[in-house]
Amino acid sequence: MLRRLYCVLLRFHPVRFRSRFGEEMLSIFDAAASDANRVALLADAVFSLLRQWAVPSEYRQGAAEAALWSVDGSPAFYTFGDYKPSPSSLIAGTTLAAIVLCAVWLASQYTWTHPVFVPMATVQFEPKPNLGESESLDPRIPMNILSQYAGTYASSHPSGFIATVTAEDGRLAVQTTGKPKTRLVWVNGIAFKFLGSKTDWVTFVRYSQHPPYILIVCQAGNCVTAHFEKKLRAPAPEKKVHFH
Amino acid sequence: MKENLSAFLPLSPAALHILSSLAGEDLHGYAIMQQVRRQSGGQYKLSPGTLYDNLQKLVERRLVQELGHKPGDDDPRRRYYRLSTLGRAVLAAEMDRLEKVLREARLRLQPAKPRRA
Repeated sequence: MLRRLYCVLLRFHPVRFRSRFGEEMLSIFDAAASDANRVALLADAVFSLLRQWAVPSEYRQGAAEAALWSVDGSPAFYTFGDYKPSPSSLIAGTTLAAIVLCAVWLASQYTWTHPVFVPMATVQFEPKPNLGESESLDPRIPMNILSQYAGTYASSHPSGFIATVTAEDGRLAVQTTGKPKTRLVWVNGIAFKFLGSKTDWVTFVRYSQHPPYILIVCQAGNCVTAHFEKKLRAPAPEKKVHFH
Repeated sequence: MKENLSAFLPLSPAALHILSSLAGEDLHGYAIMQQVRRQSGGQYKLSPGTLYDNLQKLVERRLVQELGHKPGDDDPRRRYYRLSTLGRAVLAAEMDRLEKVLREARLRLQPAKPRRA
């Protein structure tokens, strides 16, 4: 596969260069010991291709001949005014430009519809809350505070993890992908545990002075980080707040 | 002749390495790459694209001669190259030029002597 690609790249070189050095370059490629070396040679062939078309040897030959005429070490200048590229060079250059343009367009279309997942080191922003605490203390929190957390959070992980956080009746609830909606119990700070669970919890991390937040969901020992995506419509504010 | 030689100078690093690698014996492209790597202590690695681009220029400027295939070589696709008389003279002129540059640089690097009051 790599060899075929290398042959294609050589094929696009100017005829004069290819007929002279193509076979030798291929013999060097065949002598490459590893795939890493072959990939490096492919990259080199791309640069060589660009170099050969950017400054064809006809230019350089003329410049070299002009350089021979310099006198007393003074710099020799050469003008390309009378140079006319051959029709085959123009066709090959146009084809190459069209191929590059198509490749760039296809790449931009592909990345538009396929977000690139960049794995990042997990950073523990908040200490794991003490989940063994009793759930008897299950306070209601003012809705104007809770509504800041409500919204849809999405992870860039290929699994397509999505968590929907809702604020209802002074408490938060979360529904993650493929799992039922579960009410959250406030533990401390901005950490909440899943009602009735001693292992599952969530916490919010603020990346500026204001919402939205980053959500960290830990279920059965697996933690996923999700970024705020969309705010849910906040319910009507409560007039009176009850605490247990 | 000397005036003509100055038109080729200064040589690019790749051209200098290629000419100096061919100074000892006739070599094919892959052997030139290996020789350049060896003589630079692994610091200068010539890629095939750069090598053949420079070889093309050097052949066109008649500093290097193309010998063609050598009977008995493992790979019949390899072509051998030889440093021409003009190439040898240009290499010698470039070495003279570099020696002057080095001498000048060494002189300037020496600590300045204190002036008498």
